[in-house]
Amino acid sequence: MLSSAAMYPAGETDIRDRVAASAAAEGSHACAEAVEHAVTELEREPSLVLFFAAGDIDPATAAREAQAAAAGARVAGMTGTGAIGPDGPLKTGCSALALSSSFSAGIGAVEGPDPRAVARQATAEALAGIGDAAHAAVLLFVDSESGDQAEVVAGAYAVAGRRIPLAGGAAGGPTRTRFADGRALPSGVVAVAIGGSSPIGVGVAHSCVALGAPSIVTESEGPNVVRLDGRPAETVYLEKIGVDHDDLDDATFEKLAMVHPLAEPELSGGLRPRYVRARAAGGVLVCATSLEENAAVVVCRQTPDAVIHSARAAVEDAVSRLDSPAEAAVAFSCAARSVWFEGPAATGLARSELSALEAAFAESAPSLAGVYTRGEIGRSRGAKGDRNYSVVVAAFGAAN
Amino acid sequence: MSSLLRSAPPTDPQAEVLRRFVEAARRAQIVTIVNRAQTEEELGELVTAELCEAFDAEVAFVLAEADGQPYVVGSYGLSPYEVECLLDGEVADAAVKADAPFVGRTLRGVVGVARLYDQPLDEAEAALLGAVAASIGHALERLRLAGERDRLYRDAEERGNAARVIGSIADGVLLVDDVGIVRLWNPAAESITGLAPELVLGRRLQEAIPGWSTIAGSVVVLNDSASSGGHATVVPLDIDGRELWLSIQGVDFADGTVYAFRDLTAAHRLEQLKADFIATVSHELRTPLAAVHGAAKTLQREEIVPGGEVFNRLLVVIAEQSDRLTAIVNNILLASRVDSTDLEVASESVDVVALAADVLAAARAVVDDRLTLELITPPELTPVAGDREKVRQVMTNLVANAAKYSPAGGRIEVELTRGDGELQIVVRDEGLGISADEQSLIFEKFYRADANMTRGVSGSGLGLYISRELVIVMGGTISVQSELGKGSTFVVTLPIGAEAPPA
Repeated sequence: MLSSAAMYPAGETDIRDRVAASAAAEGSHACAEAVEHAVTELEREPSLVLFFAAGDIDPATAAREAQAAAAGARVAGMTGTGAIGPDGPLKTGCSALALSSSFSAGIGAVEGPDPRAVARQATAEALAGIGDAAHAAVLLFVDSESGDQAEVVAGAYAVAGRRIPLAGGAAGGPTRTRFADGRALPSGVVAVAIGGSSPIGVGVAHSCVALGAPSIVTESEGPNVVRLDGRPAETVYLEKIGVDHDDLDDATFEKLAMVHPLAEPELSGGLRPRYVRARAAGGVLVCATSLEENAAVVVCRQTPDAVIHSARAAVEDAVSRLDSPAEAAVAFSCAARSVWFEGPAATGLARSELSALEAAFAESAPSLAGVYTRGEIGRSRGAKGDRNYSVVVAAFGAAN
Repeated sequence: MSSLLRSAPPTDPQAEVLRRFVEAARRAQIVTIVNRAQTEEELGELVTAELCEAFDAEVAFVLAEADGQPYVVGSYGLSPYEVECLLDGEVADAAVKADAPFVGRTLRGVVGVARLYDQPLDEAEAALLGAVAASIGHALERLRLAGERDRLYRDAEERGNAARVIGSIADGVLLVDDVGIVRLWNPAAESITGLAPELVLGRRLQEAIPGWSTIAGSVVVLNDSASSGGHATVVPLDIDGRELWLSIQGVDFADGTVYAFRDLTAAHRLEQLKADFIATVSHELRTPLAAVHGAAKTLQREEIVPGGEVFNRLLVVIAEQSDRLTAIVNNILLASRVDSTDLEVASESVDVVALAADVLAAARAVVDDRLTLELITPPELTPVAGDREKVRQVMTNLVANAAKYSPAGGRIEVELTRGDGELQIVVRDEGLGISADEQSLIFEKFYRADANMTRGVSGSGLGLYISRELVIVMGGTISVQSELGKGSTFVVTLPIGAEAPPA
């Protein structure tokens, strides 16, 4: 199956050059087909093609074929729990977004044991490829199992600085692979720098609603929250959710935790969700990132309304930073937001989320591609950008 | 960045309570991180990252002051140099900028955050930043004190190590401060000199070490420890009548002078012994050799008739001087044997009365009627267990020594007494006597009371030495009592078995 979406309604393509096009495909050569179709739809020389693969793929083959289909453009991407194509979410297959040479592009791909150093080097290599573009953004494709994502953001931020927004996420799916110029990376960071003459906006929103009053982390060891309010963390956590923990097996706990993150309240009134990955002996909650002792945390719940609302909010946040209508957009949505593989209701929620996201762009209807991630990266203000339960939208304005 | 505080937007009471809760938690969280930091570098890294998160800021920094100079402890979002640029290139101005809302004073510097998009801190955020700044100030002070403590520990450890090294080395080490007071006196120095630390430390060097004034001018003192090529000086040092020969060298440093010295007394004595040996042997051998040589030359003359009186007398001279040479060589060999540690002691039945009689008889053959020799024994002195030949050698040496220093007409007594488990041999003469100074030296190898032969007494200087060594090997003691001009009494005490084994 092949689908595509052009950036502008057909009637307008005569007026302005098309600068982006997206496409999606399914099947054994989905990546190559999606990339090829996006490039074809662009009708111009592409400078960069991004592609996001879902389902059971051979990473090396997908990387090689995607590169071959990109008509000489730089190619980067990653696998996800699912992909976001022009026509909706994909459980298997591939979505692709081709950007024209109106945008400059650089790619850095680095593997290594230190996530901060790896991200720093990859970002530096990527930024070297865009020269002194008036506006820029860096997309980060990372590995959720290769250390704290906050460290990845810190490394990228050290190089990109405060004026270049960061977006991205951790690869999902069976292989959790990143792609860069025909290579498949099982670990490490792929950084993609995109430069242009118009602003590039990054918007972030999460889908969590606080349950009750905050608690204090009274004992923690890195990402392991041992005690909340002086009591075993798991006991307090389940009490606030309203579940009797005596009858809970580990699998059920993890499903429950997927939609009930902890969140750190911000001074601004917002929340910064933290994924609870599992529980451990002694009532310990194993989180995706470190929580310092004395931190205030609140148990949250995802609601369908919040998912849809946050999709809209993320787009509005991103678009607010543009000075022209969005021509293209890349979305990184937490896989847990739509509980992607959990039946028709979840699929329906994913479609609703995507519809809300597209609707938020209103009449600009940009070329859109995206991926469902295992941890998101989104930074446009502040220095921090590791996210959970969030949707991150990178929107590219019209070229001047 | 704006220098104006932003007023907090009006909120409902419940939201305000929550905000205050979050604010307090954030503050506690940051303080936890601050207190966890073990180094300034760690503090700068951890706390600035957390400040960025807490204040949703792009930049956070911590400044401090050392020796009057401000410096960037840590920063996030900007390099330390960029932080200085942010502060208009003058870190010192941060103190002025402490009135601005994005910085807070600490006890030792400034902590600040910076946000883009003209997002000044509101009053509550500024208050939080101020509180955090105070914690950071305390932490910086704590780390400074900890650093100072660590430095002192390191210094103490280094000093301890140095003291242990100085305390364990075999060379004496002496440290004198810049006003000449002894400040260090290591165990080796005490061992070499016999001067306890309490007698030396805190006193002027000239007063602490007897004889120092005499040698001070001879000791080489280098200018600093890096100097090389200087040679240690070997000097004699008289400490309470005990002569020490020291190899000593000094090195001046900023706070005084350190001397290192090594005890060469034994080596010096050995050198002296060698010199004495050569002098003695050459003299003692030359005299009989000259006599033999002269007699032989005379015998070659034509007028000397074989079998004639002169001929026969010359042969006697040759025979006697040959015996003398043999005795000298035997003494040297025996001295060499007693120096070795493998001398065995026999246990046999010794009739000491008969043995003493033999020794005196032999002596009479030499002295003729020039001296009176007498043996004094208690009645029925039964044989004892001992080493006959060694006892004989000791008696022979003592009697020969007495005869050598006795004037014509003198009397020599050998008295034997048996006590509880011991035999006492006393050799008494009425000879020249030995001065008190020399009495402790006469048993030393090659020592001769009349080294210059002013009294016409010759000798190898080995007899009393051999006697002492043999007595010691047999487990006994030897001593002397004497007065110049009134003779000498040598007393040998030897352990003996309760029952003498059969002869």
